[in-house]
Amino acid sequence: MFKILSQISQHLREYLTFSALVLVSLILLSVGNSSKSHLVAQIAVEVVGVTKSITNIFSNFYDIQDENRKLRKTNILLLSELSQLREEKLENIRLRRLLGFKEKTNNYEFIPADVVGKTLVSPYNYIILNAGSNEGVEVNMPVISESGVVGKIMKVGKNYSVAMILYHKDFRASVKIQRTRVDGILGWEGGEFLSVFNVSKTMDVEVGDVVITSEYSTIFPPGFEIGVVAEIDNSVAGLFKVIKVKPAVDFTKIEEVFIIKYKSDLEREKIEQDLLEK
Amino acid sequence: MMIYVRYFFVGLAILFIQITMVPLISIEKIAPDLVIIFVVYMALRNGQIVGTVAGFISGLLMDLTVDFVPGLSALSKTVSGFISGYFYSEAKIEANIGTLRFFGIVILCSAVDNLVYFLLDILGSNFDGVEVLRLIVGRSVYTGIISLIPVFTLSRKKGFGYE
Repeated sequence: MFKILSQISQHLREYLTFSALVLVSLILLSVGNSSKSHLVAQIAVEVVGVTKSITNIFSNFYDIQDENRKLRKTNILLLSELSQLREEKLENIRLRRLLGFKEKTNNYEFIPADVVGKTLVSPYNYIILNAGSNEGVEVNMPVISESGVVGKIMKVGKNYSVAMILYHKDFRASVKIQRTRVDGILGWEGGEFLSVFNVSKTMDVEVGDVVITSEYSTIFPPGFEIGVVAEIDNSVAGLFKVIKVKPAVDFTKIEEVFIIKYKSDLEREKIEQDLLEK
Repeated sequence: MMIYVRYFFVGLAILFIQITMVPLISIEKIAPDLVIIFVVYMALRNGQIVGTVAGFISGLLMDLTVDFVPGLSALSKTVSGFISGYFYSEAKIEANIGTLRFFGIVILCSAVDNLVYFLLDILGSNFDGVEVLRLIVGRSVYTGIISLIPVFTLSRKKGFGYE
């Protein structure tokens, strides 16, 4: 005991420095998403955005990119329409006897953005986009590509923004199986595939089923493709099955995306919030 | 004092490489951590306090520019810097930095760094356990292998870095 105490007193400065810095780190962790860190985060987004843009300069063939952007935009609008039509067809089959079915709107506004940086090697994977608050980007706006859902905006600078992608351990989204309308929660537990949680073992899900965003999501508009069911495991303990999903988007090759200026139904959100508070 | 200013700019350059180049050399989504090599180097060369402070500052910069999770890397790298400081010995600076001992210390400190980084996931079981283990071991070993580059460089250019 004496030995330990004398050792501590001998290295008091080291221990004090260590304790103080650990304390500061823990405080930062607990207040990380508060408004106080907003300015610092905004500056960091700008700095990283500019850095990544500079390193990305070799692949910046502007004219080709511009043309590509226009074509991709057209493509994405057509795909969105096609997806919407498929959705509406399925809805008609199920709901044709119901009256007063609320028509969905498809008037999404897209903000095109280039991916100027990305990381796929961390549990907190993200992409950096060259569109920020100047272009009207806001936190939590959905990000998609012509293949499907990419992620959502998590930090916004003036000219750059950071989007958390599907391979981010904090990413969650309400999804459903397009064929059978089974609902679940999408997340990532590491590895190549995404996971759909909270799907009962009795539900009808098959390998090859398409997973789309659900109407329950307050961030993503419904009907956008997330991926395809790649593996199902019913042998695990518990009530739910393990569903692995292969994302539609190839994140290793992603270069351009679209941010959707999508606003969820505020009245709905308020009602849900009120219910939760009760 | 000037030496620390120089270290700061070297640290910034390493961080720049970490952000821009390191993702390009990742294998199976596992990338080395150049910053932890720098932190261990600082601790072995200048002692425990410098290692701890270097760990904290570089971790904080990584939080702001790489992970966007304030505090997480700062915490893990502070702990790693502190632990690597235990290997500091004024008489053995050359032996610690210019030999394979450096490789071993980097692997150990990288493992500690990753362990603290994933601690919440391990405790909360909200990330696949096998995946976490794969990341911890993979990152530590890959970082250790990369740390051999400065070891061989220093051992070839004897005298460099030991002034």
